[in-house]
Amino acid sequence: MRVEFDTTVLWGAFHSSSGPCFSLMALAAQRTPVLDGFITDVIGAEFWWRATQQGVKGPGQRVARTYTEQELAPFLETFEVLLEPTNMARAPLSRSLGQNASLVGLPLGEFLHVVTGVDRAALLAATTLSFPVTRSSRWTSPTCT
Amino acid sequence: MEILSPEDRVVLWRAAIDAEGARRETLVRAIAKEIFESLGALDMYADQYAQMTIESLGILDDAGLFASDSLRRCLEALHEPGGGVELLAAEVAGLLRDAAGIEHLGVQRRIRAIEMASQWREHLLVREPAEPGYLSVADVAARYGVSTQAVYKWLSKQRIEGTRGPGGSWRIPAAQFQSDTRPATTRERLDALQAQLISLHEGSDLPGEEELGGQLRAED
Repeated sequence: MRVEFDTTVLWGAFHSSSGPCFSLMALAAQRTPVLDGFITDVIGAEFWWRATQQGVKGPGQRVARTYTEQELAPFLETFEVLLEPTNMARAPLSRSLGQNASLVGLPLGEFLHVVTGVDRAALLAATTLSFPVTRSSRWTSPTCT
Repeated sequence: MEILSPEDRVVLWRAAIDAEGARRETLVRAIAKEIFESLGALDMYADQYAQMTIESLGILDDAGLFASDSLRRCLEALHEPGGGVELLAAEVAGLLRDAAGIEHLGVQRRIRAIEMASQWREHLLVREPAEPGYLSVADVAARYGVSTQAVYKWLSKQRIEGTRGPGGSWRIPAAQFQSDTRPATTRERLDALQAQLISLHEGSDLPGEEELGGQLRAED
């Protein structure tokens, strides 16, 4: 049975190592015939971002906290067969931004340069393309000059 | 040497569940002794295993898992030929892993539960299978760190292949567990991670002063 683990399962396993989420991931990581589990690049990126940047509340915790790389290392190393980028499935649709998550917030010209590979100087020289890429930005058609 | 009949073991188990205080402790130790008498089949003769058996049942009792029906069934079948003691060892290992999730036991005892689960499991894994090329329910449970009930469920839902032998016990072809050649995590690493995560989250429900202060300043 092919099963995709989402971020909720990863957090459930991280916070409760005797719970069902940990058990499911353990079965997948051991390559049991009963469960063929996988994690996409988007899920991996979201887990890492929340763990190190945004913070997350564990069961019964009143305050969200972040984790250091040292604290995350045993979890990531043990489940590396599911979490290693080379072992991750690529999300084919929609939020397929996992590998580009670090580009969020960059000026559009910078973003386009990385994504398209078009000449950096030419893109950044266009002032109409230098507003930051954020979810709150309202799209307005840039004036072509 | 068999001391009690299967029926007597269940009566003793029920009496232990109904008892309280010192009497309950005595009855649990009596069951532990009964189990230890059988552990020779797993090369667990030494006194340390007698102590481990008592400690394991003690943790299961404190975790509220001693009264589980799966343990009763294994106690009943303890001396049955064809793997009674192996089934019990696998079940105790699985229940100890469950006990590691019971927070009121405290961090040290939860970690100890995982350590003992690994020890029970190792004794199942090192022995030769009774029939080459086939595994028992206890073998599969020990290999993947799950309860024997989980393996029975896999069999009944045909998630894994297996056939019933003449005595009613399951014969599970070992080859099906070697077909996936992708890199895999070992059960030892998972056990170590469980203990590390329990330590990491120890007392994490209480935010530190600095953390709480930062939160309050942010709310202002």
